[in-house]
Amino acid sequence: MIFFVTLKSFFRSWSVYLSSASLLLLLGIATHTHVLGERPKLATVLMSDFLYVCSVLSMIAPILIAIKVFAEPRMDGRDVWYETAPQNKSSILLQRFLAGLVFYSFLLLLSCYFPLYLLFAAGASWTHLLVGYVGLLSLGASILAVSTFFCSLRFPVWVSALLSIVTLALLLLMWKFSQWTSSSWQGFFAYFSLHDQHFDAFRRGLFKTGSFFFYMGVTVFFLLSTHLSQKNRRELL
Amino acid sequence: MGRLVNGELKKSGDLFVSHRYKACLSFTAGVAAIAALMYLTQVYSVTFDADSLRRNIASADTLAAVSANPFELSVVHNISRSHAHYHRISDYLKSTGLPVSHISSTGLGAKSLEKVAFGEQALVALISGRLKDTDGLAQIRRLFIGNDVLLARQRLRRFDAAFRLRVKQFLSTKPTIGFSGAHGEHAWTGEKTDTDLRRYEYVKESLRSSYMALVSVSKYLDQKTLHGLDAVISLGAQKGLFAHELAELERFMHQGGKWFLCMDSAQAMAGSPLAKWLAQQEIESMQYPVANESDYLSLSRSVRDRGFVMVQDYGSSPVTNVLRRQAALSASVFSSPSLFKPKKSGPKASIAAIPSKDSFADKNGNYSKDGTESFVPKDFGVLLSKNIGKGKFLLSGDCAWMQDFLMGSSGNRLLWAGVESWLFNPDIVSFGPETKDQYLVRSTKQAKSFLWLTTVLVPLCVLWLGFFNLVWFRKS
Repeated sequence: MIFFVTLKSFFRSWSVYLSSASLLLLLGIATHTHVLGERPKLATVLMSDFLYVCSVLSMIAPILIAIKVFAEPRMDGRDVWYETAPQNKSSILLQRFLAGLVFYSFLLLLSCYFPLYLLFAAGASWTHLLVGYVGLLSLGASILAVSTFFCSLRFPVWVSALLSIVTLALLLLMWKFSQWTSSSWQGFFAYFSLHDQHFDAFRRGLFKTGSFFFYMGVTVFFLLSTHLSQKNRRELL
Repeated sequence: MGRLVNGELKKSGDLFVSHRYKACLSFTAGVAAIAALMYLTQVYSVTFDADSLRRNIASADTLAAVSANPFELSVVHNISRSHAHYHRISDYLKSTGLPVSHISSTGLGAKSLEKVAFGEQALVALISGRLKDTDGLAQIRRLFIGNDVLLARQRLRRFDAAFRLRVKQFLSTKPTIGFSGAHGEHAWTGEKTDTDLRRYEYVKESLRSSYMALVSVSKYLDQKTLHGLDAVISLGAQKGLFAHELAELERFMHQGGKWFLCMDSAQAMAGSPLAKWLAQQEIESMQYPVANESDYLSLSRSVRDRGFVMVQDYGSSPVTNVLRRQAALSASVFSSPSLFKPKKSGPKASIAAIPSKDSFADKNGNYSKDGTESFVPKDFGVLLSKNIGKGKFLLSGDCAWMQDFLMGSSGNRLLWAGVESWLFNPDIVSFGPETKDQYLVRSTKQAKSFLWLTTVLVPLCVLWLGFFNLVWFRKS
C-alpha cells in the first residue's frame, strides 16, 4: 500500500517531471559533448564513456528522490499518514525506499536509448550494457540510502540536501584521501571511494562481486541507521 | 522489592536495558555484520567478464587440428595448491593422444603468466576454475592471442567437478622466415653490417618461437636466397634495397610469399627505389609520412618535447585488431585527439597508426601515467597490411619495437602476435577476442537527428507524459 502510494506520488508532481526532463536533457548534452565527440570511437569505448557520464548525472537523481520521498511529506504534513500507518515502521521505511528505487530505475530506463542504439548500430555487448546498468542501479541505491538517512532526520530540507551532498562528496573523494595517507591506510580509504574504486569495473563491463556488495553494504548500513534513528526518536518522544 | 526507572516500577532481577543501550547494541551489531560482509566480499571478490571469455572460447573452437610436432605444454591454473587439477589435465591430455612432450604447471598470477607468455613454451593450456582478478584476466587474453595454442578450460563447480578440455593448435606448419637487413653504406659489398647482424640477433631472441625456423639472409635478395623461405622480414631496409631486389620480392609475394618490412624511422628514404616501389603499389599514404617525414617527425618532436604521446585510438587493421580490442578493454578512455592520421591508402590496404614512444592511454587526462593506465606498443609508427598477389605485404614504420627488451613490454608482444597471425594464417586473426564492436560512424543527418532525439525529443516526451498524467489525474 505505502509502496504504491509513494510511487504514485512521483507521477503526480510537476517538479518530478521537470527535474526528470532536466536530467535527461543534461544527459543528452553530455552524451554529445563527452561521449560521442567528433572522432568515431569503438562501441565499447562509447558504452564505457556513456556509463561514466550517466553515473555522474545519476548521483543527483537519488538525492532529489530522497527529498521527494522523505523530506517533502514532512513539510506538507503528510508525514503523519506514514507515522500512523498500521504497519511495522521498518516495513514502512523499506517500502518508501523501494518506491524511490523503482522510480530511479524508471529514470535509468529512460536513459537506455543510447546504449540500445550502440547495441544495434555498433555491435556493443549486451552484457556490457547489463553489467553497466546493474552498476548504476547499485550506485544509485547506495546514494539513495545515504540521502534517505539525512532526509529522515528532523532538519530543514536544505540542510538534509546539503548533508547528503557533503557525505556523498566525502565518499567520492576518498580516493584522494587514500593518496594522502600512509600505505597501510591507503587501501582502507580507497575501498570507501564510492565511484572511482567500485564503479570503474562496471563501466568496463566487468561484474565485480566485491564492488556490488560494497554498494549493498553502504545501502544496508544507511537504511539501518535511518531505521534506528527513527526508532530512537519515537522512543524518546 | 523493586526500583523506579523512568517512572515505571522495575522488578528486581529483571534485566534492565535502556532503549538507548538497545539501539546502540543493535546498531553496533548491524555495522559489524555489514563490515564483515563487506570485508569478506572484498577479499573473495570475483570478477566476471563472461562475455569476452565466452567469445574467446568460441573462437578457439574454430581453430585447426593438432600439429604433428610435439610440443611443450604449460598448464596454467589459478589454484596452485590443487595438484589434482594438474594431474587430471595431464591424464586427459595423454588420453587425447596429443603429442605433448612435457607438461609443466604454473599458477595463475601475472608474473607466472608473463613467464609462460614470453617463455619457451610452445603451447599453453589455460585451466581456470575461477578468474580472480582483472590483471589475471588481461594476461589470459594475451595468452590467447600471443601464444601458439590452445585452450583448455574446465568447468568447475567444485574442485572435484567434471571438467572439459579443448586443446587446439593453430599453426600446423613450421614456416621458415628469412631475415634481411639493410645493406646500408656498404651495400655494394653485399655483406651485412654490424648493425644489421645485431638487429637480426635481437629479433631472433625476441621471437624465440619453436614453431618458426629463423634464418639470416646475408646476401642480396634474389631468387636463390628467397628459395625455400615462407616469409622475409626486412629490418631497417630502406635505400639499401635495390630495384632488382624489390622486383624479386614482388615476384616472391605474387607466388604466395610474405614480406614484412620494418623501417628505420631515423633514415630518410626520399628518392630511394623503395619509395618508388611503394608508390607503384599505390601506398602513397606510407610513402608520404616516411618519405616526407612531416607528420612522422611531428610525432617524434611531440615525443621529445612532451615525453609521451597520448593515443586516441588504434587504427583499423587486421594486424592491430587484437590490440584495439585489448585497449578498449583495458583502458577504455583515450582522451586526446590522434596526432597522426594517414591520409590515403591504396586499394585493399589497411593502415594502422600508433604514434607511440613511451605512449600510454591517458585515462584521466592528467598528462601523466598513473598506476592503472596501460602502455601501448612502443616505437611503432605506422603499420600497413596489404595483399599482393597470393602473398602478403606488411609494413611497419619502425623496427625498434621488435627488440628483445621491448618485445615484452607494452603491447609489443601482442602486436607481434597480430603480425604473425595475419602473415601466416588469415583465420588466426579471429583467434583473439572477436572484434565484434565497431566504430560508430554516423552521417551528418544521423548525427543531427540523434542530437534532436536526445536533447529535445526525450525531455519533451517526459514533460508531455507529465502533462497528460496530471491533467488525467485532475479529471479523474
